[in-house]
Amino acid sequence: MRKLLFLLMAVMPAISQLHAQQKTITGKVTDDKETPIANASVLVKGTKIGTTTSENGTYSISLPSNSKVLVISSVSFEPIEVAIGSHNTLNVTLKSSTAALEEVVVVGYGSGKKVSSTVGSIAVVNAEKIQDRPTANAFDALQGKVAGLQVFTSNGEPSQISSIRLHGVGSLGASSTPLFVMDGIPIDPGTVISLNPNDFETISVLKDASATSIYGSRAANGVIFITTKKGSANKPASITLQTQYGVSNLANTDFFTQFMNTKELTDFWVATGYQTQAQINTLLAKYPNDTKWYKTYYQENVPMYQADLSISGGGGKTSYYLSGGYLNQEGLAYRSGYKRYTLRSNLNTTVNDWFKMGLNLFFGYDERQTNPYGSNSTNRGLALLAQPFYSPLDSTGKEIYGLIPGWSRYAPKYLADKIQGKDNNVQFNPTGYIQINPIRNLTLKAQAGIEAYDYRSSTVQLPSYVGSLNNGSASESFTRGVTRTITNTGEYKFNIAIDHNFTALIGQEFIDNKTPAFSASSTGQTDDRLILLSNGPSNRTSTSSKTEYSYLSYFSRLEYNYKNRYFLDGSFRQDESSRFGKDNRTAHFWSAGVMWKAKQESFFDKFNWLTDLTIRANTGTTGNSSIGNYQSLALVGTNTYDNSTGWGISAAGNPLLSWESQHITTIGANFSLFNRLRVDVSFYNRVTEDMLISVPYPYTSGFSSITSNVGSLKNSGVDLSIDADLIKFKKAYLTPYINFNYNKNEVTKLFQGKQYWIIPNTGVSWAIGQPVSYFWPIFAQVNSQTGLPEWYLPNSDPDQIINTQKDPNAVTSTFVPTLEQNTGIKRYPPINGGFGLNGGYEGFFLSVDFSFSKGKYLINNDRYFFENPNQFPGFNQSKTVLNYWQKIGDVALFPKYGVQFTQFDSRLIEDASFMRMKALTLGYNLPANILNRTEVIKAVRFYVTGRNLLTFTKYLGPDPEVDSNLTLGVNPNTKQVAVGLDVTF
Amino acid sequence: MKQFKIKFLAGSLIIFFLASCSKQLDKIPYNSIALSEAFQTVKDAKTWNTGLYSNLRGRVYGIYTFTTDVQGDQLNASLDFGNRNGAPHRWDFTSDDYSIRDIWSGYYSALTNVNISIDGFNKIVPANATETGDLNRYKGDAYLARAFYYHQLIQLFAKPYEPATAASDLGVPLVLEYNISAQPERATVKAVYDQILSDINQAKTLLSAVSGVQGSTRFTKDAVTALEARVKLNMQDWAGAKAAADVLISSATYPLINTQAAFTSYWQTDTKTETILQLQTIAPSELANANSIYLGFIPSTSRYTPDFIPSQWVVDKYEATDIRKAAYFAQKPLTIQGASYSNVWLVNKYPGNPALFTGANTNYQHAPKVFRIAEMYLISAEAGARAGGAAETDAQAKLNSLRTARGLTALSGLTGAALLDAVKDERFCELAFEGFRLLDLKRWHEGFTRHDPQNTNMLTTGANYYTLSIPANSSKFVWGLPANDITINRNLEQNPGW
Repeated sequence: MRKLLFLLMAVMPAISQLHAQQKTITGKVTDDKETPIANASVLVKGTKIGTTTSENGTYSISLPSNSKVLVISSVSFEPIEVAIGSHNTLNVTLKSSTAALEEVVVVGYGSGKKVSSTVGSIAVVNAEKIQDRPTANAFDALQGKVAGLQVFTSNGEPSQISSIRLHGVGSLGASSTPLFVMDGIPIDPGTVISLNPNDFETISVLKDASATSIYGSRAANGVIFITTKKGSANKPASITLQTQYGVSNLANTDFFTQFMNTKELTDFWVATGYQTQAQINTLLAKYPNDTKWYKTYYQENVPMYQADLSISGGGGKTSYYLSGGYLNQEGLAYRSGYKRYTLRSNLNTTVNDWFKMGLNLFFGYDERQTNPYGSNSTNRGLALLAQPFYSPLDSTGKEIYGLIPGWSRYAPKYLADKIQGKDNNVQFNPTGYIQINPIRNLTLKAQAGIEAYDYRSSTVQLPSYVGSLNNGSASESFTRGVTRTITNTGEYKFNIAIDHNFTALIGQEFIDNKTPAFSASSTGQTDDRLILLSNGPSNRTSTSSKTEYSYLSYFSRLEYNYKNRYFLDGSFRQDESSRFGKDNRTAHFWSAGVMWKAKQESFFDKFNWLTDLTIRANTGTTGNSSIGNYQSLALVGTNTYDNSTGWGISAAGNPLLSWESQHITTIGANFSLFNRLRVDVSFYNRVTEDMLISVPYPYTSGFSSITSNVGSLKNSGVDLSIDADLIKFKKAYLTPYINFNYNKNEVTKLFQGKQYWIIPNTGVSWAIGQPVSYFWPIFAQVNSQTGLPEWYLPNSDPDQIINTQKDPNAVTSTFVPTLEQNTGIKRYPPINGGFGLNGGYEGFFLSVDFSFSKGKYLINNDRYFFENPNQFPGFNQSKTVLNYWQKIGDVALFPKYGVQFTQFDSRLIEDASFMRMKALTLGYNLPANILNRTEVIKAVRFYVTGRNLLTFTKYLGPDPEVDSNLTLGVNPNTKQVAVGLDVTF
Repeated sequence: MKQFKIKFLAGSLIIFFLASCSKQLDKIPYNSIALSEAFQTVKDAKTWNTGLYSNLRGRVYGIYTFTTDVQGDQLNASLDFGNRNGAPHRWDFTSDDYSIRDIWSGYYSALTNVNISIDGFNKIVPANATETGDLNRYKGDAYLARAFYYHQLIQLFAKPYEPATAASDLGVPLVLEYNISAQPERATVKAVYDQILSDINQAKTLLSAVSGVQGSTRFTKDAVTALEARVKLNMQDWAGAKAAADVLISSATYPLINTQAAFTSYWQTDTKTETILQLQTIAPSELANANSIYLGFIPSTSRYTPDFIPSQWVVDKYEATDIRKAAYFAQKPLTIQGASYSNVWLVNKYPGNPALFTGANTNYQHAPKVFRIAEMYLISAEAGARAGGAAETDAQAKLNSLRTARGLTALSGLTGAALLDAVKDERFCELAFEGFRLLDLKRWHEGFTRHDPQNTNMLTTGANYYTLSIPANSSKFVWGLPANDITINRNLEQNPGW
């Protein structure tokens, strides 16, 4: 065998020499800092003759002497063509691909490629944009960064995750949250909070059919693909230490300062006859205070701290990235906070020329507490009902630790100490793959990943809590979720006649989830030091549960391009899910797309100002299965009577239950002018059909709703991203950007032949031909003659209330639910986006990021409590209630005293459009000449950063960013100021 | 070399492939079973029967009992009531009111289970005589539960039964079979009552062997009779109502309590003497709904912050010697809006049975009393008084039996309206805060004016509170059908005024 090989090798050159005169060219490939580039491809243009560079960047290639041009390329560098001429040595410098959009992305299975050569629309955000933010929530900083991606953080809990929607609300019943994929393995959106954002390399948002259809069943709301950092096999190790310290405060206190003070409240009481002056005098003699209660319930200057250490590098054929992170952030409300520890190890190794493997391990542990006293609780959410004449301080000025006299609620700190609720989560996300190239251009990859968590909730009521003295309670609950994902793919790249390039991919995927849980509780603990379950002798209970689901999928994709100028691609996927009826389990999804790199055409050559022009169009389908498990089954659940198990029907079931499907079509273009201005624009049309909706049933059926495939919804709109290099010098740069999305939402079909459906007690309505809208009684005015409130009478035909009727002569003073009609106000904001700039001079750098949402409306349910002195007599109220009708002729906000001031009507639907300064960072990088002297430190970066420093809104409630139809007792968003130091060794 | 590669590859891929390809797409839940498998044996029927009682326990007391009392004339809202149950108290509630919704949907979801059970029981073939007996009992329970739920629904959501108009007055939808897509119309009041009587008769046959005992936690033939008496009184079937009530009175199974200590303990610790049916309640896993609006005990100060406080005139209705006064009321120290009040009369009928506490303090838990003998005396007396003539003597006797047991003097020489008023007054006192008062006013066609509250400083002030006046014909005596059903089921007609 060996002999034969030797013989062959000896003969081969001789044979080729017969064909042509050969010559050898040697050289070195480096980057612009003269760092050698290993594994760069060196190819004789128009042939298959090629080689790759060695570890020190050198190459040697033997080629026909008539060869003219070498093409040299490497990942994350711009390819370059050099004329061979008569040279025997060719040293080449490759330029880094500058714009982030040129990043190589590994999305949608298969091997990575440049974003600019994918037919699908993929927005890549470099992770540095979301790093060093003073929040645990990685996606908060994504707000306003990607056109079409709406990110809202609904409250100020440090453990809060953002709600994310791409191109509007995709379904009226199932979830509208995109599919999250980390390094190829789908993860739960809730997992993101447990991850360390500093481990992210890029976050890619897959928007259109060409990018998402390959993910099939769960991709209807887009895909968010997180790629974590890798080491580099041929770079010296670098060690980075990042630390940050900051403080949090309420983002906006306007709401909290609009309440009446003692004088205003007591004068109001006397004026309305609720109390006599004599009663007030007695009261004030006992409680002579004027308290701003929000300061009792929300702390100020609450600290947060984070630190990360990462080491990345490689040697030989192995690269590594290791990191450890720590974050600790307290909430402003008591019993609120988040503490996270993370570890990551990403290893990749090339075993030999045909075998590669890698293993990413993520481990996280976090502890979280969220304030439980939200909606309808006077222990925080509605605590501003507290009368200002009471005080949280005792007569000596010391903070009361216990029951607050008069207000009769426990001091929030006392409550937090005595009734504790601590959750923790252990997160483990390992992903491994092996990749084989059995023959040239064929890549077979098997990847397996697990997402596993153990979530534990512990609540304790200490025996010293005076509300239940010497009788404590404890409860513990454990939930374990394990999702296994196994993906096998085969990818074959080939070309025909050189210019026809094909990539074919086939694959199979299996996903399987098990979530068992159990919990136990006991009471009767008598000592604060002994508060385990086992210390409580009474009321011992235990429960358990277990759920499962699985998906089995097959998929394929064919990509083709001609001369890297004309691109075509198509994909097909078949999915089955356990969530659907046995005979309706299978669904098929497909996509087809084209792209034209127009700038490459010769007729554009003369337009030097046009540096890039690419046009793309694609269409395809995706699915949505984000509903609960087992919903197709008619089920009998259990209950208990007299220590025996009983049965009762628990689910009506729907054997016909199947996939929600979506068809999305996108056309777009991106172009760049003078190599300075980059514009990306695309138009899309999403049509969702057979939506998974909880269809309402009359209670006489025994059920209130049954999940069924009904109705259609359309979202269409435009994404626009512009950024410009306003200043581009060696020492200084300034790059402003703007991202904008307009989305039009329209319900096109409903169920049971209905023209509209008002979701009970929400104010939200689905009406055919309308966007998802608020249908509520429309307030007309307070009648200046009678002092009574008046509402517009809706059309007397209930089928016609879609058409708003505001006839000044058709009003009523009797409030009934049937006053509901179309207010014309949209539930979901049509305009979202962000803008900002990045700049630098010498070592200084500045970045400012704003995000905005326009046309956002929110039912301010807080006002029902704070502007309703008849319904909540004796409590403090907003100052606005002073504007009530008192005599004939008064034009007042509120009716006469004695009549309900505030009803659930259009007055509570407020414009919650807002603009927020999400981030402001000013920093300084120590110059290289200073660092060089240390010989150890490679980079030092100081910065001051802020989050949510400015909020602009007309909204009157605590926080406009709440992503819901209504808000009540929210723990509002916070703002942070932090200083940080990053050092790289 | 290449062969090796391919083998290795094939091997590694097949491992994953096998792991994934085993057909794992048939997932069934662990906490429930398929409905199609739930009626196979008499043991299954027994499990459904257990479920029936669990459902029933969840549909008595709590909102099912106090919503009408809050709407009535005996209670006033404290300043600290926080608008809980405020809408029915002010009579400004609308058809999307949560209490209306929850009561309606609660009864109908229980009826769904009953209908499924009756249908399923009929498919089960008993293996022997014992099983036949058991199955009959389960069937009887199901019929009686259905009669009970429909009677509750018809009392709340329809006009009271008037023999002249019952055949045309709108009742509630009669759903007797499980059909998820049904859009039922409202049956007439008469049709609903006819169904109730028919179900009672079924139950009477099927439960004929189940003797009553004090404090039974399951349906007995006495419970059938008690419901029959209650239903027939509502139907103005005086003879029928009296006959049924007298069966229970004369059985002497449930003697009237006549000492203060026993009567207080009857309410506080759920002793069983007068109880024909109460539902099993076990701490901590089997708790009932609580009538928790009357006390609002604050453990840290040992004071009280109730939502609702009885009017002074209501307390004064009880004579000093009446053992009910001390059992139903207690004078407590209050903290309302930071101010202290002492010796305020509070409803203390449901203070919480200490055996059912799940913590250091009361959770207001009791074994819910569904039928008790005192109501039978009142039914017999009222039916007798209504029937007039010879029956009046017995009516007065029944009234006096109850009065003397409760520590009052016997009345004499009562006839006609005076007799009826005496019975009404006794009903007022005996059954206070058990959910009867408003329904009694409704069927008697009497309006009311709230008056003479205790200290108004601790009460919520306003036109709709302690001075509210409601005429007998107020449309909101008849509750509106929940907005949800009105919107979805176009075959339903809403009650006037909603």
